[in-house]
Amino acid sequence: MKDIKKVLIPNRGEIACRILRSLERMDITSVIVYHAVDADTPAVLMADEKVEIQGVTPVSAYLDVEQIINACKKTGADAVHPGFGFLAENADFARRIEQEGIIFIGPRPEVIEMMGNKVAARTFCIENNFPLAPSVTLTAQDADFIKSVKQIDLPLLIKAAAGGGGKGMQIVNEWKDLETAVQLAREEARRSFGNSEVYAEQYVEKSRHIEVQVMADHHGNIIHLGERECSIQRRFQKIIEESPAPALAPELRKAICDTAVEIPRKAEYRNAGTVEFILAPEGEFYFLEMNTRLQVEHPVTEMVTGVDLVQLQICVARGESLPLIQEQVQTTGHAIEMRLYAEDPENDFSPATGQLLAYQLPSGEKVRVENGFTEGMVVSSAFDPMLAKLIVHDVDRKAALEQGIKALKDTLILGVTTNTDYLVRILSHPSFLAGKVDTDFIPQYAEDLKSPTLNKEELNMLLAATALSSSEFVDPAFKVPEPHCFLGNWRN
Amino acid sequence: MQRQIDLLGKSYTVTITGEHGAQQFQVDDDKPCPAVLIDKKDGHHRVHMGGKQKDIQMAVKGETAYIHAFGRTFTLDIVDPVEQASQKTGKGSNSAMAPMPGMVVDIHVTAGDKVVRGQDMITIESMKILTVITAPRDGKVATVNFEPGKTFDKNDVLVTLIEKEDA
Amino acid sequence: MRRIKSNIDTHSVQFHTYERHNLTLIDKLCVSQQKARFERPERDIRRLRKQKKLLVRERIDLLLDPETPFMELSTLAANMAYDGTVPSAGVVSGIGIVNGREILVMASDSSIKGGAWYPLTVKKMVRTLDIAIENHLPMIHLVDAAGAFLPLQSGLFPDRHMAGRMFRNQCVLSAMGVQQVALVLGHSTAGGAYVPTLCDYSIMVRHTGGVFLGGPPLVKAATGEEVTADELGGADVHTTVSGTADYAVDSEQEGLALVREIVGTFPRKTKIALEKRESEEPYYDPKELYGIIPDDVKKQFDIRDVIARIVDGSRFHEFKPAYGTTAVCGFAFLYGWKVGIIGNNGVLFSNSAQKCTQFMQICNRDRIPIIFLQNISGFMIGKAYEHGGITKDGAKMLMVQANLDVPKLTIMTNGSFGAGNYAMCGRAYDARFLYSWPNSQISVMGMEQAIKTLTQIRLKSLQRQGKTLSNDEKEKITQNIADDYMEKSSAYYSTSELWDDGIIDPANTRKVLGISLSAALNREFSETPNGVLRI
Repeated sequence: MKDIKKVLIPNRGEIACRILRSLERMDITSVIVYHAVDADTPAVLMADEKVEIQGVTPVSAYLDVEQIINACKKTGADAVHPGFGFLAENADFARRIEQEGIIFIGPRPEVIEMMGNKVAARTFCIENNFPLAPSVTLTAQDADFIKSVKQIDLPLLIKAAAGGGGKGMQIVNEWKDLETAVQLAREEARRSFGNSEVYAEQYVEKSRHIEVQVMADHHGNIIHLGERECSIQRRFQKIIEESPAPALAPELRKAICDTAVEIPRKAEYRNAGTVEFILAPEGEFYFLEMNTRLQVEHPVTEMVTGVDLVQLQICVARGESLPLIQEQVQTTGHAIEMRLYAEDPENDFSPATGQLLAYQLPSGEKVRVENGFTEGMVVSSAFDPMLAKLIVHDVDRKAALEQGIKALKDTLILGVTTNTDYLVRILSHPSFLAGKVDTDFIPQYAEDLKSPTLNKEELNMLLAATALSSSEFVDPAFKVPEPHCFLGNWRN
Repeated sequence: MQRQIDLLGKSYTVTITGEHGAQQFQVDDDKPCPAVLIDKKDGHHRVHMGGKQKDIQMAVKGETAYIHAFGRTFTLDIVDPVEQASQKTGKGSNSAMAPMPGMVVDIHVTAGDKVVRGQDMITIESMKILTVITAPRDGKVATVNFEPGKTFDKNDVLVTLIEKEDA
Repeated sequence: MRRIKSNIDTHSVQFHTYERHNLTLIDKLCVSQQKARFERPERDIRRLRKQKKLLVRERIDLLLDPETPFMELSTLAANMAYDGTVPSAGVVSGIGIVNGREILVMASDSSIKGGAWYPLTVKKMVRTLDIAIENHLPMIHLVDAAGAFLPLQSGLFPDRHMAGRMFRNQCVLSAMGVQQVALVLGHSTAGGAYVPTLCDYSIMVRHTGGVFLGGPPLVKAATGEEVTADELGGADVHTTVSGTADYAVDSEQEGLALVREIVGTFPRKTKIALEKRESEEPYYDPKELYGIIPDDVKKQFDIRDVIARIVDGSRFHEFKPAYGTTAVCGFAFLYGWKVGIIGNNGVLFSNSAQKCTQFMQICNRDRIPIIFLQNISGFMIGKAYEHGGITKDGAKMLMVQANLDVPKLTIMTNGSFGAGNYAMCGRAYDARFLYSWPNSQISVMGMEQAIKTLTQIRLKSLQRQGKTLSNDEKEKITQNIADDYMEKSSAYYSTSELWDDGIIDPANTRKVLGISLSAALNREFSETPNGVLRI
């Protein structure tokens, strides 16, 4: 048993705030490292101690292992909570931390490494008879690879082995596109992950993305905390998640959750993790990948189980046994998370930048807000454009949906284009209401989800408000003198 | 005064004439009508037009108005007349502009290089997507305006081509 | 202030007769102006479109603020010259508003002979720049001219107030602190190259704009060098290599938007500090003027009825009403500005001349601009009047009028003959703006008398040559002389020769004077000493 008195967070934004809140509740001192651009963000202001780090780009600072370790030594931090993204799934980082005698709040480096390499993870599953979608993994010459790939049915996906989170994927719908897709995928993989290894996997159309939250201690105990439905995605990134998954037969749920426990158990997992599955329309489910860290959407699980996952992570890291056994894990009601992004859904979801001139997020008994921004801050293209998460919880799905729509409508963000109105349209869509969700939802209902056209009266009001408040239109410097102003566009 | 305002991908010509408090509002060639905007502080405004009124919330930065009304949020851009006129003549064919904010990943040309239409010039990353920006026409590169690792905003000119000679 | 009591019976036969007559004149005016402004040979329009050029009035519409007036000057210049093939003398000038600022725009009309300069074109341009100087109005030049019209070069080049005067005026304007902006939308050759170059800001449109002292054909003829217009003096050459121009734009629209942006940065002129009241529309309808103005220049009408249909609320304070009743002097308000008005109700006598003189002194001392409403056939002649000093009194009136510091505006409402024209501030007396009504006539002597005299001279000359003429032939000669005299004293001839700044519809007199007065108040009044009065 090791005590943890001071935790360093090499992260930023809302997840840093989230971790800081639990640390405060547990009376543990917090240290945050930050790049200069984040100096005035809520997370930095909230932490007990802070250490500035440098980087050519802000992102590179948060990836700088040496600086982070130095910060740990300087402040005497005895543990590191990496959050998600940045170095959270970097096995070398985890190793280095542990070599320095600092606790890495997460799984063992070897497991991070294995699960981080999608090919290795799939091999592990094959060896242990866990369900997997038909795929081919080869690191040899393209020619052989392509020959083998042709054994899988179309459509298929070419994915980066070292990738994840939806990055570096190419869809192949016709055989003639296969070679180019492989080339592009390799290029992108090399550029993004430094490793051009790719694999091909059957693309299950109209699948659902179901994931399971697991937690393991260092004593071999491992439980799951229920599943999350994450099928509403754009660009392979989730924007709405909920728990429990709608329209999921209890047997299927049990099978998925049980498998989700067995996989990390076999891998001698420790700490928090999420096992992701593809649920095919016919009912088969396949292992997709395992994320060896806390996920963005973890609050959804917290709301239905009442468990503080971050707190649990720290207890586990201290060497404590899990305080719950599987039978004690209960879920009540229904929770939905909506991710507010600074992006323009009308324009292919392209990221938006600007200053948050007005930033008012909802509050209330049934609403939980995870937020990393304040009014007046600038949203730049330096980081991921997620502004905040709204998580609502109520007695059942219908009630939770109403809460969700209300929370979104109570949100006021001016100065940056956001997907707030778009999320309302998703939650209001009859198919979503009916629980008929799959990963094809957004493309399938693209027309329905388009911004409704304005009527003339509304349009004119908006134009008039804009014009009358702008000096471009009403600057007294351009006032028309008398008598000209009385004469309209008279011509003699 | 008259300006073009862009909203949801469409452009409108808006004209405001008259004294403060007694102003006329006109869209394109529609009939002008009186309009009044009352500032109620903290971003709240009331718009009076054609006998009707509406409460809205508005924040303005530079020439962009962000309005929350009718349960939705809108972004309206007032276009500078000189910019507007130069856009119409497709002056942009001398510039390769960023389609969205992001970061430069890789550069494939240098100043002085000859390029053909469609040729790869610069790879950018935005929201986990890599995009390659290509040459808008045949020509020669004048300047590459960003280096790898640098971030940029939408419509920033990434690569400038040498002015096209008159045919 | 009391209102004029205008007792016009709008239902009388006379009213209707006059009205019918005047409406015909207005109709003719509208048609003539419409033709001059918009009728062009189809092939000239096509040529411009092919060159991607806008028509001159399209350019002006894009230039000016929305919902603002444009007062065009001398629309019918050259209407009776060059066989009528050069409408508006090939150039459009007028007062307009750009970004809230009063400006004077001068734009070549390249749909007419490519914008070539005829003698009257040059005269109009010099006059426009004179207006700019006298009123301190910022100038916008829309340059698109082919150059001088060679066959008539002797009428536009050598003399003092010909082409050279244009550029001289530009220099003087610059020294006075008045801004000038040029947009070169076509070629600006030879002397014309100075127009944009003397401006403070010069914008050139790529591939259509060209500025050079000698164009490609001339260069080839002179030195054998072969060069394109663009290479010689196009937008990029002048904005990047020689510095002769300041901005290069890709389209006319962009150029016009840029002109607007530049003008928008000019400091707003502080007008002369004249007291201003609330404006009030005339009590009487200006359109009634059509039934008031007679159908014959010899017939009389009360000038007060005209004043009542021009000034604010038709309010007029008549000065010295019982003395010298053939002249009407008084104060009124025009769009809130106080003005002095002098009008004619008959020939000028000693007493009316004296009254006018006294009145003008008051206006001058109290900084009140004066409006002259001319309807004058001359001073009274005869022994009694000469002995009474009529010539002396006329001279006093002239002496004071010529040396006035306040702005003067003149309207030719009917007749303007002989010395009366001088005293009532005719063209030679530097009225800031001078306009004619379509019915007006102007000549050195009353028509009848002049025709009689001229006919007598003609007949005598023919007699001396030994010719005998029949009565018919005599009549024919008389008629020819009469026709010629009529023509050359008509408003149309006057405006064609640029003896005025345009023919206006009488019902528009108020608006025209309002805009003119506003323009005139941009320049501080001079302070000249008074001349010697022969008392």
